[in-house]
Amino acid sequence: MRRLIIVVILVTITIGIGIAFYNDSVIPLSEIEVNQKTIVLITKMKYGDYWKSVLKGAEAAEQEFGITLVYDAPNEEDDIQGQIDMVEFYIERNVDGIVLAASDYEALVPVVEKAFNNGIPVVLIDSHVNSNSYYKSFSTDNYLAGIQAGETLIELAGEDAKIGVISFVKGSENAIQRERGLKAVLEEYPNIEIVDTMFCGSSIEVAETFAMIYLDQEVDAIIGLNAIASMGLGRALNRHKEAIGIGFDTTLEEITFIDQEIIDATIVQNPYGMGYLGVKYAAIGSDEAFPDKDNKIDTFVITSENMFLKENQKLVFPFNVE
Amino acid sequence: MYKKIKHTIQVTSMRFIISFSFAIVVVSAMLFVGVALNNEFNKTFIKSVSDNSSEIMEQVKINLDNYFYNMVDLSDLLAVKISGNSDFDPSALDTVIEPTIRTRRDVITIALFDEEGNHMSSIGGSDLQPKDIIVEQEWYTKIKYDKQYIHISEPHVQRLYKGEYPWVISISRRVGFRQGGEYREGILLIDMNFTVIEDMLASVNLSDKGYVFLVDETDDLIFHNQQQLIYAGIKSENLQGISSTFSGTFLQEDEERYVAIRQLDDVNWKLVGVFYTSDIATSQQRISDYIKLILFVGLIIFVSFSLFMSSRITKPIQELEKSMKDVEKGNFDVQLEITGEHEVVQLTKSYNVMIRRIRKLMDQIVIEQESKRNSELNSLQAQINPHFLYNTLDSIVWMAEHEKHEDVILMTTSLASLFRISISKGAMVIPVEKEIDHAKHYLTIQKMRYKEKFEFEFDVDEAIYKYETIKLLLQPIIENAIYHGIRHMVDEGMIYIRGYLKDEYLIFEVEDDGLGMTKETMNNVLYDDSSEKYNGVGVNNVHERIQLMYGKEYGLTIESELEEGTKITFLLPRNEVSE
Repeated sequence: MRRLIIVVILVTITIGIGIAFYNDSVIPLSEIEVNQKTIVLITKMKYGDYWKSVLKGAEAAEQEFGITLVYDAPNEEDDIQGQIDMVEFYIERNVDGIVLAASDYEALVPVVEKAFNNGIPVVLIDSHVNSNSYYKSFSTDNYLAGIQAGETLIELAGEDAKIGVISFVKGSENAIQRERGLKAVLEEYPNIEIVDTMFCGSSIEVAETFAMIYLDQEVDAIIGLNAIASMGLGRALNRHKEAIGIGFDTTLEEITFIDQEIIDATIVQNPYGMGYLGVKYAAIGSDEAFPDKDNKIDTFVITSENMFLKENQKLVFPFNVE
Repeated sequence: MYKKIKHTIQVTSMRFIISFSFAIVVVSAMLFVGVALNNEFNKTFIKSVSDNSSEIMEQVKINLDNYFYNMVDLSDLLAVKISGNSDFDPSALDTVIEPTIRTRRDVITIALFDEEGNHMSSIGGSDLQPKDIIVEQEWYTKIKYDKQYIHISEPHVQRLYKGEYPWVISISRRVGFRQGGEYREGILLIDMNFTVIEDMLASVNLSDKGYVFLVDETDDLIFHNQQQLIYAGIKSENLQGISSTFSGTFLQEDEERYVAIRQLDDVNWKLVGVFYTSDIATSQQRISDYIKLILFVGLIIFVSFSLFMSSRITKPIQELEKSMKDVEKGNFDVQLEITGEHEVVQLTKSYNVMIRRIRKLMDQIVIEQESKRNSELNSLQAQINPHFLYNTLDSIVWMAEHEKHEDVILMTTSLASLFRISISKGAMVIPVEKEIDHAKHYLTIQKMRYKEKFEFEFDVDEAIYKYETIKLLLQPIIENAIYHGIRHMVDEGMIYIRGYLKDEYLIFEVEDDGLGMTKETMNNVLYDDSSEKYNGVGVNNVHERIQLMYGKEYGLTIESELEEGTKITFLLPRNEVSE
């Protein structure tokens, strides 16, 4: 009798397992995702075309490398604590990789190191932190961008000119590098005079005012070192096109100014590329295309002449504006 | 422990053979099915992937073709409307354009330009780019200067209105119309929202990592999901083999990707689909892992099941074997419990019958042996030398003739006692005291016969009187001592009889100081009953009787030396006289 019970139990288990496997096998194979990596992308803020492009690039990598992408960012660029909390949150979720555009050079160091010590690869994009504990970095070569701006300026304004510079945040690493690159070129020409460098913060109106001030001082060219500064510069020049204008980045407003030749040139970064590369290398590790730890992403000089060229359209107009 | 393990995995054991062969059959069957299944799956899988992607490609092509067809259709419709009127009024056109743009997400702009590039419809005209910019654009020049009738542009950023830069595909065409009685020609532009196509192409999912893109007749990229990366030099697209293929699917030279190509109908573009062999390999790996898992689980189930079954079959046999071990040790009282399967029941029954039969036979043998021994013993005891009787009677006669009455009385009395003890009512075993008495009477008689030939001395511990012994042990040995040891001696001999207890034994000793024996003779005396008998019952006879009665550890030992004498020791068990 006891033996009979054992046999019945065994047979039941066998059939049970059989049914379990049978049911399993009815699920389409595509839904059985094995070991899909989760990579989280954290940018400085949620809004703005620049970060939207970063996300687009990240999404391209998501599809190409079959990972799950999670996107998160603070609402404001200066919400540094918010970004630190986010990194902490994802370290605790033990994600397979973090792609971070750090909003502060010092404040993000502890969490980046914590992630690194927990074995989570951190890929820095756009901006660096003051630490060596990260896996890879992809950022704009701001110094080179500054040089490009300087060379474009000499080309347009000549070697004998008075120049005003509108930078954005004093002490910002990107601002310093761009200004250094710019000055490295301009210092070669003794007849170039830099009137001043003014910092507009995050206000287009302030930048516009600075540009008006430079115009009053009868400068030959004004350089805006980021999108905010460039838009202020464009608005001032739109009223009085009395100087050469050189900007950074590509907002719709800037593009319109360039199309109308109010701004003469802009230095365009490749946020799409950074988003793509950041996620790619957080997902797959290293390969021969980018073997180095720190990688600089090229910038491009866009003018009204080349902005509609096939190869530049996607860079200047990353998505459809409706 | 080791022995136990060794025991349980005896290679020759039935249990092992059953479970092992069962497992082998199951494993090979499962392997066969698994491999066959895996191969079939793989074949079907590759085919289904390729079928599937062909189907998707076909679907995308149809969608794109439809899209362009509809747009050309719309363009035709508008052209007819424009040229059909005898006097064209641009505001009439507006009433068609305006609702079309409003209701269709895929149409961004409809506009009519005259031969000089002047905008003819009124909608959105105010924000228009300057005329010199408009007439430079491809959609305009292709019609105006290249004399194309209809042109479908690549996806591009349209530069028509100030501050608006939508991604579009432009369809431009030549239209003729009458205005103020004059025949004029113009260019009709329809801008299609490229996002619609882009979203559709981006969402096409050919395997995990697969994607689609568009190339023109010179294999330049028209649309690619990662166009920015390609133009920025971060990525490159492998276009190998695409230009030479009009339609179909092929594996690229590096064997990393399959490429499927479809030619679109209305535009001279190719739709290119890419899917990775590694995706297929990954899925195949997944299938084969899955099959392996099933095989493994199945294996565990079947092996444990076979172990269970085989132990069920062999357990009664093992029990049978265990009880047989008992029998091997000599325990024939075992009877096995009759349970289990039919075969085992039969086997057990037969075994029980066999054991019973063996036990019966053994009992029978024991009884037979017993009676055989008794009769042998009796016959041995009966072998008292008849010469002794004749001689003694001769001596009595001789003594009577010489009127030695005292001696006659003593001798006759002793002889009588001797016989009384000898007979002992037929008992085989008598008290030690009687045996000693028997020896005394015998020596008394012999001493009277061999006058002055020897003396004797008894030294017996009285503690031994309470034990028993086989009768007539001492007399044959004493007889030997007299006949062979002392009779031929020149001097007077001496015989010592001793009895005492030592260890758990009862010991008698008969010692003489006569001629003694050689070693060879000693051996013959004790073991070889075929050698010459010394006048009837020999030493050998006594030894045999002791061993027959009490076992091999008891019996006689002889110590002897020529010219020194002989000592014979009896080793007997201590058996108290039973009342």
